[in-house]
Amino acid sequence: MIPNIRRHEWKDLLSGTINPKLNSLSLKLKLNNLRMGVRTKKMTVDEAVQEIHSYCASNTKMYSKDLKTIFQH
Amino acid sequence: MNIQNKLCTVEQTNELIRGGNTLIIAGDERVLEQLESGNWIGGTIPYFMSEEGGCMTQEKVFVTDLTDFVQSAKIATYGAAEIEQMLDDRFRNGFSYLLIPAFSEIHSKYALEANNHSSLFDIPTMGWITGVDLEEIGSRTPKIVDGRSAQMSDSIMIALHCELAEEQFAEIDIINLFEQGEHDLLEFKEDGFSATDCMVNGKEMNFADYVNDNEIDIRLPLVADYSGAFINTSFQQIDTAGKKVDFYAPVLKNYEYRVAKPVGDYVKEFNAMIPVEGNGLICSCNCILNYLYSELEGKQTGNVTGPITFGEIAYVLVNQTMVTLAIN
Repeated sequence: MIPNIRRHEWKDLLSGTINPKLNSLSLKLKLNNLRMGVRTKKMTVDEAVQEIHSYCASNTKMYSKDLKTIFQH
Repeated sequence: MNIQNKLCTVEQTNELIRGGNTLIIAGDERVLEQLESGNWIGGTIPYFMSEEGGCMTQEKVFVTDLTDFVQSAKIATYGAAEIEQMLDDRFRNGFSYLLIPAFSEIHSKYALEANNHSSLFDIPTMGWITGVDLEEIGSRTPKIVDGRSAQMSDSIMIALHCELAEEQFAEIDIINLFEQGEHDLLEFKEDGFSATDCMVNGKEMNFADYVNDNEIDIRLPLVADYSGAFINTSFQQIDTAGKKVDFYAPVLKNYEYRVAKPVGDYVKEFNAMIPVEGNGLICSCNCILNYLYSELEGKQTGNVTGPITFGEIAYVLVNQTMVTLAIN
């Protein structure tokens, strides 16, 4: 179970407002790719939130530790 | 569970091949030529981190046997225009292992374009850039081997797409001793394996001049921060007359680079960072520049073994980095 997509932390993460120390390489790289996409206007923040939420939901086991870090930040 | 992840003779390897094992094989081209066809992919490189330490051999090959770890596997080759196809061919629950010949068009294309595909990060994708004996650069080309036919190529990428059981997942990680130093902030106007001009703390100047004037140690890579993942771009050479700097991976616009902090004792610092036993580590690769600059011949990097390569793939192309694959 991952935090609701409406939680503000998702947008904060993508905008760089929060920069928690993540463990998973794949999540760091995916996050970076999405941040760059927003920054270069290839996607909106909402689209990026949708994508990273789905990404984390696809493997909650792998990302559980990082999700705790993000949502305790 | 018996993971074969070590140097083997041709005879030992052919026995594994005849047994139908799913293998990744690294070795000098002249040794790989002696292997029978079967369910394997191969890449040329004669440098390895073995159980006895770093070494160069043109008599043995390094074998990673995935047979007991994967539910199924498929081999496929791709040309320079087929990176997206490779991404689509990956198993939803699995991982893919890529081998790409150094100095090929697909090497450049993968390095420059893979990062633009958001789906790249959806499925664990690792691998390495194949190479040659350093003294043979220019006279022999790096190659991949399609084990199904035992045919070699210096212009295509080969992938071993592996499927895992539903309850398992693969995880790729990097061990990178290099951190961004306190040097100037460097930004490049264009993506590329070479650079002429650069923005240094916001001011434009020629990058070759900057490196020379500041006596930058080019054994240290440039480091960019990918949202907490430190990714290296290694210097290849400074063309002072041509005012150009060449790299072993591309610098990318929109990224901020700094020259890395020096590393003291590579082996000691590396050993402090390697994964502990029992964490599901299956295989790894490490960079030829680490082997050379840190004088790893005869030295061990903990119990982590694997080929020493001309570039590493941890989703994206990285330099001077160890890449590891674990199955949990």
